[in-house]
Amino acid sequence: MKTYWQVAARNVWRQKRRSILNIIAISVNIFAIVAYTSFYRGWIVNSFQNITDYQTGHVQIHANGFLKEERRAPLDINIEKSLDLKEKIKKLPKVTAVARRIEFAGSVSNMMDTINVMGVAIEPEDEAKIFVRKDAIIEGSYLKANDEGILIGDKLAKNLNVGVGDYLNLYSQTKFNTHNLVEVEIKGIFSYGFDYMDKNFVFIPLKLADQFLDMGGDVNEMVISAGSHHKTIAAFEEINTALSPETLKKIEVSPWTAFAQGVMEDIESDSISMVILFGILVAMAIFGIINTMSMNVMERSREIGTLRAIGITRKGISRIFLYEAIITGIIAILIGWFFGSLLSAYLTFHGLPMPAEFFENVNVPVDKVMYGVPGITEYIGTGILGLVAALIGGYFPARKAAKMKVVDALNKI
Amino acid sequence: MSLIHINKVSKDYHLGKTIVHALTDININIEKGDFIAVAGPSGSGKTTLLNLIGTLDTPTAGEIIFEERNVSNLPDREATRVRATKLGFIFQTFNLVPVLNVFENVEFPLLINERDNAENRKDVTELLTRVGLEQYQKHRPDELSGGQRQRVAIARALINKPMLILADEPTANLDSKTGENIVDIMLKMNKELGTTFIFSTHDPKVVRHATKKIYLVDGQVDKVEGNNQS
Repeated sequence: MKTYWQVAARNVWRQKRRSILNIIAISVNIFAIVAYTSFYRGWIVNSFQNITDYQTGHVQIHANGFLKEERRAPLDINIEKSLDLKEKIKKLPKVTAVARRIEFAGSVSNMMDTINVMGVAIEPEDEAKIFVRKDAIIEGSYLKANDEGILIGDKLAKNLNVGVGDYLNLYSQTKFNTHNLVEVEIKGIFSYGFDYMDKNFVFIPLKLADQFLDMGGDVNEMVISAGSHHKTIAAFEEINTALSPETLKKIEVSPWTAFAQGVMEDIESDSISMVILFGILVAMAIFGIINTMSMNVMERSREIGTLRAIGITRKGISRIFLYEAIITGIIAILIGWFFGSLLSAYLTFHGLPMPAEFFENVNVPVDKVMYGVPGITEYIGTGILGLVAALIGGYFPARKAAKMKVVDALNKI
Repeated sequence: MSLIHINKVSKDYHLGKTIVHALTDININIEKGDFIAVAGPSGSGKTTLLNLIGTLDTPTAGEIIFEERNVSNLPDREATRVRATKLGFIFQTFNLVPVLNVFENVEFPLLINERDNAENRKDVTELLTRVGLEQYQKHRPDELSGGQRQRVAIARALINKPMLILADEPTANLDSKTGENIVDIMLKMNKELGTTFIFSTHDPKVVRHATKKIYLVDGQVDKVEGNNQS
């Protein structure tokens, strides 16, 4: 066995140029997969983090039927006894914070221009425990519970040509479908670097919204933090277990993924595209190995004949070529890992600044600099992939070599 | 004592629609310890005969009895086993494994027979000394002359202590002096170790060293000289 490995290793070295080509074919794939997976994982982690930090929290509760009509942000489908429910959920060990909200459709005007917006009435203190709100303020200050003020995004401020301290008219329909408006002072301007939020969202205190929308203390949404998006399912299950069946009949408890369908679908389709692309590259590498190793078999026919003549079995011949493929694969895997790790480390520690145009085309809240998140999975995966590719590439030439008739092999020039 | 009995052996090759009769109705008896030259012009069937005896090929008709066993149509695995344990081969173009050094080339048949032990490794050194290559043990084949390579091939053929060594034109790629030297070494091994040798050649100067000469013409035995002439 050791002898076959020894001969195989020396043959790999002997056919340097071809071995290098085979090694490059496999290692380039491994390098690309290791680096790309790290980058893509970073992207996903960042997206999930930002979606939950900026938009959804980890778990949301609505009254039954609200989500079906969420597009119109209905003010008449509300959570019953929302304060009691909030207090009950707040006490659960896997829940770190709970905040009540009113989502409403409206528009803001500077007396010259009017822009439609998605309004969110919040409990400022509790909201800040779940979402990145205070830290997103780039001008002015965050809201207080009793403020008659508003937070708007920097893009919206630019579109309306307004700043902190200016006043806006906020229009909406009340719970009873009557029109209402309120004059609010711009207390702060936020920036998430995510156009969808910076252009379309406004935040006002829940107390002000209760009067303005004539809600009578009702809210149509409750958001919950589990501390981290990894703990979502645990918190979600705990809430479902803790609440009585009667309560659960009247509400819908949803994990954040239910509100990020677009992102989840994007991730799935991106993953499929990448598997197809890497699949094609790996298939090309396998065909490359089959070609170069078949040339080796043809060139070494007489040697194969000699080995068969002196007593090596067909299996032994096949082994030598398969071992050559395995050694080539292992070298390629190590080289691919090494260079893949270098790029992955660069992405992890230095990050990759994304161009400004990029943010105009994405519907996922991601940071301006993307960081890699390396994992053991891509190393295990590429290790298996590299070996399988090398073995498939080596199998057919090895079989061809083993099947040669000894006399024919000896007579090959 | 008969080592090999070749009984009415024929070998045909099909080249497209043409049938080439490489050997026709060959009957030869080979005794243990023989040093046999198979002589004849190119295309007379020398290599075909050696291939059949060496279980590298199978006859179209007839049988080859080796140590009282019919080896003419053995399954591949058994034929390989016979070659590994009972036979040694020397080729015209030396056919050493280029990635192995001299010592490893000679040792290789031991390793594939899983007889790699200190005793056998001592045999390698001893055989290399016998063929005068003890100082070339670490050399690669491409660092040796033709004569030296053929001496390595002889040592490799002998390492498993085979009953029979088949040498196909062992001197054809060597100058006449080196060729004679190779035949002398084979003769020495034949005498000292008692190994049976069958070698093919078309060189009369080489033939004269043989104790028995089988002349082939057009795939048939033309005449047999020496020993009991069977």
